[in-house]
Amino acid sequence: MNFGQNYFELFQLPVTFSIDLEDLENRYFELHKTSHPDRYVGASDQEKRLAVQWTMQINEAYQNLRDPLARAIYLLKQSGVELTENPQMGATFLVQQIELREKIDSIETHSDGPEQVEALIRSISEQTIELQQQFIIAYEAGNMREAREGVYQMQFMVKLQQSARQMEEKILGY
Amino acid sequence: MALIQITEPGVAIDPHQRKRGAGVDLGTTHSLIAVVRGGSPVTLPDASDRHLLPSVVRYKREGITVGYAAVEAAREDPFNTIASAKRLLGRGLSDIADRKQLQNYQFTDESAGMVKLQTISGEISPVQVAAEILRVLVLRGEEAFAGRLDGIVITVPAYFDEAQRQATRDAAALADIPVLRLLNEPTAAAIAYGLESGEQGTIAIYDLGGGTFDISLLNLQKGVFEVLATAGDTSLGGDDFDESLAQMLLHKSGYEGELDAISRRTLLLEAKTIKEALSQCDRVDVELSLPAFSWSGVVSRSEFSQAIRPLIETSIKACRRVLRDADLTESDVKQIVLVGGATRVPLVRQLVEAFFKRQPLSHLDPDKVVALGAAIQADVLVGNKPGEEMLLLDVLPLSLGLETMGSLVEKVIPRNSPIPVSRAQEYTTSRDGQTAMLIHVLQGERELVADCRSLARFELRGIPPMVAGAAKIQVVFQVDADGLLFVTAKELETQVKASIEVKPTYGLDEAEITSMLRASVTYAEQDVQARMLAEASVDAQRQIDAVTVALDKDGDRLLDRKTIHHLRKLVEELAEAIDQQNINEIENVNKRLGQASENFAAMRMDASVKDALSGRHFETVVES
Repeated sequence: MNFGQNYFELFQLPVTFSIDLEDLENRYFELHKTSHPDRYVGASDQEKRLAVQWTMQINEAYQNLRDPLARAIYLLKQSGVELTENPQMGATFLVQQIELREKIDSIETHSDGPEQVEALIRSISEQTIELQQQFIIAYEAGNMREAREGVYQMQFMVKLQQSARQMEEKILGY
Repeated sequence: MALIQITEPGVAIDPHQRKRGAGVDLGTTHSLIAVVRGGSPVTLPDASDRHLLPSVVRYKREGITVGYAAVEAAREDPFNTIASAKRLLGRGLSDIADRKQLQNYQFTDESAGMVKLQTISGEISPVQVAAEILRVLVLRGEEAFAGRLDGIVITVPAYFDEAQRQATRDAAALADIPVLRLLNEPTAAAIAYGLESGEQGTIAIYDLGGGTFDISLLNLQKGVFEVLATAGDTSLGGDDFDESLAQMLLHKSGYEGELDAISRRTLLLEAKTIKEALSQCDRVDVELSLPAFSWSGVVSRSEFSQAIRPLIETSIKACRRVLRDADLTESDVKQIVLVGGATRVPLVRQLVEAFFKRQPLSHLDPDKVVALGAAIQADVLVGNKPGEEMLLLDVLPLSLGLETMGSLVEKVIPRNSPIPVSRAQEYTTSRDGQTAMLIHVLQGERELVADCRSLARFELRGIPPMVAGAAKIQVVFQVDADGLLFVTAKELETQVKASIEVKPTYGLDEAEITSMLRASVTYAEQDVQARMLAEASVDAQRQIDAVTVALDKDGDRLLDRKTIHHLRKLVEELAEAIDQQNINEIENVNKRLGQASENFAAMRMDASVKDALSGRHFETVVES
């Protein structure tokens, strides 16, 4: 198996951030139809093993391409850009993050908590999409420093969104 | 001997070689087997025309009874009559410490590992109980087909964790039945409905069985069933309704003393009968006469509904949760399918309909629907439907992770990842000169080790002594299409092959299975020999067929003449070894053929994956 093949090649897609998710899903299904272990129930152990390995590779590729943040990170890695675990973020961005966090934490005691948290989740989603747009521009222009900065910011937003959703669960008593 | 025929995906098979596959619904309260006959799935009845087999096994001094006979014995012989063993599969004593089930049986005193039950015929594992049930069902299947089954699909709750899935597999191994696939129960239900009525889009499967509750969201399209998300409760079901009702009866009677085991069991059985009657009528006259007390009076549907309402609401909460996991709302769900006998309770239907604002589907028997779907899938998997487009893509039900510093769990594969999946994680040593590392594998969503399920502890030994932080330990998680996990670990820096010791916390190890197999009277020594030869021959024949088909199809295209000749010669040798029934020779040549054809198989697979996307019309055109 050609493990060196990148995820885009596997799906026979151009290497770019903008992906049509429905098209990606169609390709994913088509690939599975030939590779899935269920297609090899009566086959030799060797073929079964290969089928499992391919399917794992296809699933891994799909997971990385489907999720915008994972896709952005993967694109950077393919361009040889390394990410650090604890990036230094700009002061303005950090202050904004702290404010958003405080807002999430304070929502619990509010009487209109469910509406507020829902509005916040929507707002975070919108900001994330905006960051994605900025990433595309920087990445396409070959401005990798800015693209990487964008990925770090997206990572913060994803974590923030998780906290907001946890709060929503708490308020709604799931 | 019967040879297994090989089918390439998409290649037609000889119609006279129809294979024998069956679907088994191994349920908490009852189990079923179904097969596809004349193109439609049917469940198979016993000699008295009863389709459901109560999942109850009675152990006697001599022999075992399974099903209805065992249920009848439950009253007078409670400790040796094991019901709802599915709840104990892959569970430790601490998992069920707060459950009422503890009062019903005598557990052997073991602090670690899967629970064992003390019976008159010795210590019994829940896996053995499940195996007995499987044996009875498979016998039905074999009688129906007049021949040995080629394989079965066993259904499990979507929420079953690794240990529970493994225990289910172990039960089949113990009963000596080849398993084609473990299939999630809700997916099976969707198959039964999906193929018969052609539903497309998002479907919610609400499955309230005897002992487990599952809610799953499936995306059905383009011949592919994709599990979007699952949630549930492995300890919620119709049994709990019985329990609530029993508590209510106890309260009504005014009896306050301790209940003896026989009274308890009788009370539960009475409660079950009343529950079933209340699905039809508004009130039921009750006359209880137990060793402990007697009582007569009336139970109404509304007071029963009131008693079980909190239980059903727990299930509705899970519905809300699963929708949110899949990023959907109630209105996105196009159909709701009801599965499990407990969905006959009117309040269940009412609350489900109120939540989804849509009337649920229930025209197939909710008790049988899972087995029917499993039979359809088994029929596809054994290769009876060549060219069949149906494919199941599954997700991991619960996150898998490793213990790290501070008793925290680091997630390695998050839940709802499509499976099969493989993920590698790197760790390092924390002390100078450290030569061993304990790797603790856990499953669950919580952050603390104590809140997750411990699956296994691995000891990686033979790490060369280095300064702290210098060693690079790579731990690889692999989950196969059944959701079963394999974990390996190695030290990367030195490439030293370090040994791994696997101690499944709740599973049975090979030795235990072997000893249980030995203990079962069915297998005398010569049977074991014959079985080994038969298995080796089937494996070898499979390899022969695979290589032959591959050579015929792609040999000229991908290989040089010398390699083709070499492979053909090995195929001949192997066929000869099978004829001579020489097990050593079969295994030896089979291994050589496997090695010699490895590259060829890989080349073919590469080519077919590449071909999968070519010649299809997609929106995005690749420029090369």
